[in-house]
Formats: sequence, structure tokens, C-alpha cells
Amino acid sequence: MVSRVLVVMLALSACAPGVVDSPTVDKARTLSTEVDGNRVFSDIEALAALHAKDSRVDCAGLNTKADTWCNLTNTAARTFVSDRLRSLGMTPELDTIDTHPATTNVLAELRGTSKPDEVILVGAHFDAFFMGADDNSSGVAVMLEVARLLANRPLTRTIRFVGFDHEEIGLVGSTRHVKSKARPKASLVFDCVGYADDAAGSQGSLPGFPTPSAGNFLAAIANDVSRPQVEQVLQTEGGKSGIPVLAIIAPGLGAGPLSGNLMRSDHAPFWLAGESAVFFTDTANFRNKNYHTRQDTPDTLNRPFLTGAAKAAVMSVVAWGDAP
Amino acid sequence: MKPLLLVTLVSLPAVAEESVLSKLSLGFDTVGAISLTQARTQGGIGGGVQAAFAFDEHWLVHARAAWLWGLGSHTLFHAGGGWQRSGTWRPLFHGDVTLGLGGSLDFSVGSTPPTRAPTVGLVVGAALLRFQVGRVIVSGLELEAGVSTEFVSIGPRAGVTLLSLSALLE
Repeated sequence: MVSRVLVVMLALSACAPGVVDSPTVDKARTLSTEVDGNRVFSDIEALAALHAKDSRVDCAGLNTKADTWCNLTNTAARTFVSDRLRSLGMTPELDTIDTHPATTNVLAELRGTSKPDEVILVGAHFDAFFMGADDNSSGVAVMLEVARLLANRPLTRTIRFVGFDHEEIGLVGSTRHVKSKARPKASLVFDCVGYADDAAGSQGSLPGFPTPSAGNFLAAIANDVSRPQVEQVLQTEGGKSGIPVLAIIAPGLGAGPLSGNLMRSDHAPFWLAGESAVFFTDTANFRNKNYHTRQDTPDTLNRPFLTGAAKAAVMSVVAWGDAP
Repeated sequence: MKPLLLVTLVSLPAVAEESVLSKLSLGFDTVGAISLTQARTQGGIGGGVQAAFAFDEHWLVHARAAWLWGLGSHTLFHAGGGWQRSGTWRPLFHGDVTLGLGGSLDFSVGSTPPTRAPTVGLVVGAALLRFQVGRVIVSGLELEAGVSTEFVSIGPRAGVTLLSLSALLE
């Protein structure tokens, strides 16, 4: 009888919402006030300029839409990410796999103070079509801002920053990472976090997705595995980022036929491996008409929204990295 | 011989009446259902089992458990009652309480995080293509509509039973 009660209690506790303690919430919110939106935006401008003049990825054999596929770049942005992480005192590692074209992730860690074996992954893909301001220089710049703010403030858990390569070809870099590296306790992935539009009707959607009409919210997308983590994101953010944050939770691992559109970035390999990952996005082509075009330029982005996304990211990472 | 015939004739209506009264039926069905609220989309297609108990020629209570796939997998329970016509063509009109447990697409609403509560609903339905032949009841394209909630928001729900097959037990 006692064992049955224990089993029921365990089952109920497994369903309990993820809760972050008050000191961690306060710390996360305080640190988020140090987000420098101008710095984030200038990083996007720098990355977009690098993509514009970088040599194109060899698109032979990839081509179904030549104008897009033959304008994919990654080398200069990878160097930018690596150099920045090094300048912050980390030791970046290049992880290369022999694909065609070759795929090289960049990763660096900030070692945790008391639980160094527990890893929180923060990632964004650095390959981009054309200038790739929103997709995904915005995500890379937010990741680097999180790295800047945490560089001299180690958290309880180890924070691993990963620049994923060749997301656009088919999540190649993130799939490689999931298969080859130690499992993180939780992952936060950014892809397209800089575009917003307050106009009614600016947000596209799909049947079954009751999204707001105005495309000015940050979507925090999770699945059943990462539901506690997205609950912690909402609790910690608590309206302090200055932008609306809409949580969307896909059932199961997220791989169902009606939720497939929630798996279109580097969090997907983590989901499919049964690992916890939350995905921050402005919903890309459901809002941004410049998606995967030459018009995806820095001047089309929304600075206050971008700053809010960076604040939400900082709060999330601190919550996951420091909560008991 | 005559007394036997008389007894038989007298007892026939009784048997017939007894077969109408207090009838339990069990069956299977294939169903599709969707619930759409601001905080949750839950639905899918699948199949289930059902049981009904007829108090008299017209009134019955019923319950159903169905397992649906589409947005993850979830279990949908129905419990309710209704009125059916007598005869071979037996259309049924019913009202049910529903309970959905399991997979769904969940959303935060304002500052309220995605809820973990089950989905409950109220529906009314009609089974117009429903027939009884002997002990067998066959029904197709049963439709139902109503409202559902997960205690954060409220929205419409709808369902269809593509085919239902049940047998009367005496």
C-alpha cells in the first residue's frame, strides 16, 4: 500500500510545474538589465556584412533552388563566433565532420562552479543565406550577448555555447552535436529572433495554432520533455523582457504530423533524442517576408524586440544554470 | 396443446418486452475529434470501445473511451445519455460530458503558462444513420459539437464517429 502511494506521489511530482527559486529569479532578472541592445545589433550588422562578402558554400548537388542554395555562407561567421568566444576568455573547439560540404561546429564552455558535470547548452546556427540578418545572425548575436554577460559570472552548472553549422542544409551540425557530445541537462536554441511587427494581421499561423494577430511576440517552443524548462522560462521572465513571450508545447517528442512545423531548427535533433530543448524564435517565415531572401538585412529588424529576446535568453540561461 | 399455445402466445410479448427493457450493449467505434481553445489544441483520429444501457424503448445512458492520434496521443472519455427512436431506423440524439487526457498542443495565454489540466467538455450529438437489425446496431457519420475547456480558456469542440458497431446483450 505504501509503495503504491509512493508511486502515485512520484507520478504526480513528475507532472509538477518547473519552479525556480526566488533568489535565482532575482539574479536572472537583474543580470538581464545589463543586456546591451546596441551591442547585439552591431553584432548582427557585423555578421551580415561577413555573410555578404564570404565565399559561398559549394552548392553542387544541393541545388533545388539555385538562387538560395548557392548563396549559403558560413566560414567568416564561424570565425567571428570563435574569435568572440575566445576574447571572452573561453577556449573554442572546432568540431568538424566530413560531410559535403564540410560541417564544422564551434563550441566553448564556461565551467560550472558546483555542478560542472551538468551542462546547459546555448546554441544558434551561424550559416546563412544571403546576409542572413534575422536568419540567423540575430540568434548568433543573442548567444554571444549571453556569453558576454556570463563570461565573468560562472553559474552553478556548466554553460556550453555552440555555433551550429549547416542548419540550413538539414540540421547537420546540431545532429552531429547530439550524436557526439555529452547530453546537456537542457538546451536553449535561437533561430530568427529579431523580426517583429505590431500590425494586426502581420503574424501568419497554421490551423490549430491560436497565435496572436500581431507578430510581436517571441515564441518559446518546447515539447513534453522540455515543458518544465519552458515553465521556468515563463516564471523567470515574468514580463521583464519587455516583449510578449508565447510558450508553445508540442505533444510527446514533438514529431507528430500536425506539430512538424515546430521542429524546423537545431532543437529538433535534441527532441528526437529525448533531450530537453527550448527553441526561441520570431516564427521566421510565418512573420518575416524577407525569410531566405536577399532582403533579410539588418535594417529590417526590430531593435527593442531583439533586446527583449536577449533579455529573455539571459534570464532563461541563468534560471536553468543556477536553480538548485 | 391449446394451453401450451396459449402460454407461448402470452409469453412472447413478455420476452419481446424484456428484450427491449434493461438492455446493455457493447461495441467498437472509429472516431475523430478536435478541441480548439486559446490554450490548447487537442484532437486526432482513432478508435474506442463503448457501452450503453437502455432503460426503455427510447432512453439510454452510454459511455465511451477512445484513443486518438494526431497531436500526440490522448484518451477521450464520453459519458452521457440520449433518446433513440424505436424501430429498425434508430436515430439517437444525445448529450455528453467529455474528458480528454494526454497529448495536446498547449499555449500560454497572457501571463498564464500552458496548463497541465485535463480537457473537459460538453457536447450534443446526433446519430441519424443508425440502424438496429436484431441484436446488432450499426451507425455511421455520427456528429457532435459543443464546448471544451482546460480551465484557462473555452472554445469549440467537435467530433465525428465514422462507424460504430455494437451488439445488444441480454
